[in-house]
Amino acid sequence: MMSIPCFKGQDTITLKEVDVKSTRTTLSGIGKKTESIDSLTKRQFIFNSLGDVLSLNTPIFIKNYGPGSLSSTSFRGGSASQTGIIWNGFNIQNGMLGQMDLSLIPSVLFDNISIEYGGSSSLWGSGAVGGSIHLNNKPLFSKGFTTIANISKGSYGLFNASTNIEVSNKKFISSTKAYLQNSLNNFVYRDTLDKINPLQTQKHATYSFKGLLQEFRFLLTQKQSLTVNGWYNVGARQLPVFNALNVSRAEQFDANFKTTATWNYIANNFQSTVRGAFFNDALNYRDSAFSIDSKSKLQTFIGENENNFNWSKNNVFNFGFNLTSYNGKTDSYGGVKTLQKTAFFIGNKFSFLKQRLITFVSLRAEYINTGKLPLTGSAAFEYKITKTITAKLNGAKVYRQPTLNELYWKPGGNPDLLPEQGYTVEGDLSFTHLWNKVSFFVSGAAFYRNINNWILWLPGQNITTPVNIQQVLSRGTETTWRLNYRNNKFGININTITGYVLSTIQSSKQENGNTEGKQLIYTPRYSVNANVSVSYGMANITYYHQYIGYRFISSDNLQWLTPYHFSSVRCNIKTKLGETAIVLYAACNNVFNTNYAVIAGRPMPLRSFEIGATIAANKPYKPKQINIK
Amino acid sequence: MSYNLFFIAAFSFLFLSCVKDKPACTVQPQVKLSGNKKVYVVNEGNFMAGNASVSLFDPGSSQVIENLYQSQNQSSFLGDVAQSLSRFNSSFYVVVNNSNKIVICDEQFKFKSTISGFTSPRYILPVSNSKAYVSDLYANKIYIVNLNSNTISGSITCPGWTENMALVYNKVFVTNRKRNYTYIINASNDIKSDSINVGSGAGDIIVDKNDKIWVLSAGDKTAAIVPTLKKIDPLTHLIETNLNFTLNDSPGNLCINKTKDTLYLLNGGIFKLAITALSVPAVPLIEKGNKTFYGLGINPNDYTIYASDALDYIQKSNIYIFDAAGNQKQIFKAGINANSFYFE
Repeated sequence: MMSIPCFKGQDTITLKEVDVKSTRTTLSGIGKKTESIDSLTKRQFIFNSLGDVLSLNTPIFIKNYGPGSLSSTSFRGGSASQTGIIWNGFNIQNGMLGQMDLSLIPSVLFDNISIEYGGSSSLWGSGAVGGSIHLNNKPLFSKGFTTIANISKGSYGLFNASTNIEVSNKKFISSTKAYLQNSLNNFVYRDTLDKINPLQTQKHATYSFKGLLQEFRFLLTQKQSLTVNGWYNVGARQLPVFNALNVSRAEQFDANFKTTATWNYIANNFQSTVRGAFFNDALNYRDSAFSIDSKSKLQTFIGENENNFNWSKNNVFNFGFNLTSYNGKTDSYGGVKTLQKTAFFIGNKFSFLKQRLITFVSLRAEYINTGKLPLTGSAAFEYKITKTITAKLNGAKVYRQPTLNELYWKPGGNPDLLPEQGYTVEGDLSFTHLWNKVSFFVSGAAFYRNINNWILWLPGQNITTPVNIQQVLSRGTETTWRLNYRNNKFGININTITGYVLSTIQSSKQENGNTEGKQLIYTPRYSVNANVSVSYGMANITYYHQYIGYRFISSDNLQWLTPYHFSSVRCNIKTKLGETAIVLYAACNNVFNTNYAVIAGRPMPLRSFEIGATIAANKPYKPKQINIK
Repeated sequence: MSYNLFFIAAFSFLFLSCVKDKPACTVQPQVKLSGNKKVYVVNEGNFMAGNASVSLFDPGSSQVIENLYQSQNQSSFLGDVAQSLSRFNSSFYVVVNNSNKIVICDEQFKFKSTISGFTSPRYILPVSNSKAYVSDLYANKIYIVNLNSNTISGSITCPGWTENMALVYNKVFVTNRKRNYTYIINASNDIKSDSINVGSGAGDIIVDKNDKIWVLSAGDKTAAIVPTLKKIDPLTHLIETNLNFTLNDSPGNLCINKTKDTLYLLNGGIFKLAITALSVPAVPLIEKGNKTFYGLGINPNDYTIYASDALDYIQKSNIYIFDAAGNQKQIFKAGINANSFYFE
């Protein structure tokens, strides 16, 4: 469920002076399909990872190896490293792996999760090829003292707890979020190959994720604010193995520390942001059965300045620079390897026809110590044809730089790799209408993207090596349908999202290969997510249904996984106990006991249950004078 | 209203030109085999995907039977990562590395038995009618297998990644990828008798017509150790010949022809050298081109050279057949990640 534009801003009080929603995010969204996860959906997925939210509520295909296991993205037919993951404006894709594990990120952490479709390398740099996922923390001033506790218990030893304590007055905010998720994860699945004992129990799959996110915001003056964030996340999990095996001793430990500081200055026609980030990501893979103890550590430093100058009423000029450094260390590099990037970006927003037509053009020049990066740019147009119909169109040059592992992993790393790069074009047409009690929204998008120098790891007789080997053409359509009816206490929402993606290998430098014209592996051509949500008073029940079409598992398209239907029912009942709000939550996943796998050989659980509760209390801040928008 | 009509028209095109989702099922064609000797292709499949397979190629009719094990055994799966195939006492032994087992089949490839309990088995070498040795990637030992009961009967400590083995004069020579030594085991009493320093990364071992042992060591690029090919006397355990590659070479897949006087190996392209050679050849017999050769075999029946190209790992391999002079004769498809051949 996504918010419909006309329903936005119902429960937000924004102070004018400090509404420093990153302007680049706003500019980047011009002429592009963008959506954000609405508050009801966030509530229904409060105990789930980011991967789960995106999987059932967006057309992004989440490659999920099982509960608690790796979840990566395929966005409009791109690879996992062709999705930008932007946290509060910082690109947090791992520079060694080129991707993020969305299982490790709990959705409860973020005040706002939004999706930017299409390429935007000229704004976010490497990786923003298929689209970008924006994760934002936006605590508001003058909200008083708020405490929230969430707790849930589910099948197979699932336990989930999180809390948010927020102190917010006129000039200072402290928001503390802590979370914990444990599971024995010994779920039951059906092994279709085992005709005698088809019901099997998953072994060696327990996991435990926990972390803390602390945010401070200071309103220094009426024109300046400072935000400091710290996020520490640890994950420990056993890695299950292919069904046929009976033993695994493999384990993975993740420890991620991220800290950022942002200074904002806003004057009448000028805005400036200076910010820095330091990330420390450690990954330890151990397998005592095979005497493997592999450790890797990545340090990321980011420094950035961004400025916006409103040089006339309808025009904004955006410019700035970004310095990013990745220092990766693992035994397989034989030391520390470094990627250093310097980027300069400029852009301008123009408005015409009394703001009915908005355009944004941007350019980014970027330099890297390991080779050359392409000059990227984009041009976007957004036109309000009528009050109810909006058309969007944009084109961009996009790229994805090779990761540290691709360049330096020993053996095999290829320091001569070039960035994956190409062009993307997309258009979106949307219609929204509000009648008395009914609102209707429909949007249709079409995209076309051609990427050259696509990197694949190729086998040699001793060593596997990544090579710029193929050209991939992705094109497809997405539709979104939302129907909303509300009559006093009663409300019903019906949402449908369809995805159609052809992502085919146009050419490959391999001799006598059989991949030309073939669909990329693990890229479903068809997907549908639909949900029906019924509310009465403070109670809500939502049924989610997902269909994922055929996914090929061999690049010659001769082996595949069959389509599956997945369904989930989630309900919430809210009551008040004095000043304390209590929300009771219950969910049933895989309602119809479907036997399915997203990834070959990785069984998914049969039916499972979860119940939970949220307790929230707020003591409002009593200001002497408040400046409300 | 006209805008709305435009909108509907623009919208409807989104549903056009969609491709059919269900892939066409490929039916295995009826295969008529000749009476000629067959070639078995070992296909590793993908790690953790459980799609290891064996393909049968009939050079007489140029026909291929894919998934031979599956088609002979009611569609059961062979397992995860087939590493090697040996034939002994009228049985096939398929070492299925990541399923930790060896599958034993009869000559029609019908399942007979399984030997299990390995850590990560690589190769099996029968040393008598009732006993075989099994090398292992992680076990730090050689397993001793009883071929009558098909069970593990013991082990010989061998630290490191034990790989290929060769039997000469009742001695088993075992290469080791992680140690610099090739170990020598007395096949009668299973006791390590000696070891030879052959350099870093040794994996391939071959016996020539003079019963000399050839060991190919991959070297270690990071430590600036060049790959080498060494000839060892099995009686004195002394290195008689040492041929150096360069640091940029990455040789592997050492094979020998029927008369056991010519060695073949992969080093990008396919290289050939006589057992009397004094240096490694500079020019390949068969150029690599845009291929990435992955497996190599020399057919003892007609001197043809079989080389597999695993392409991108995740599609069917190409198998190239070259004549002894290096001219390409034929190409056929085998399973995913074809790594070696067994010739009847």
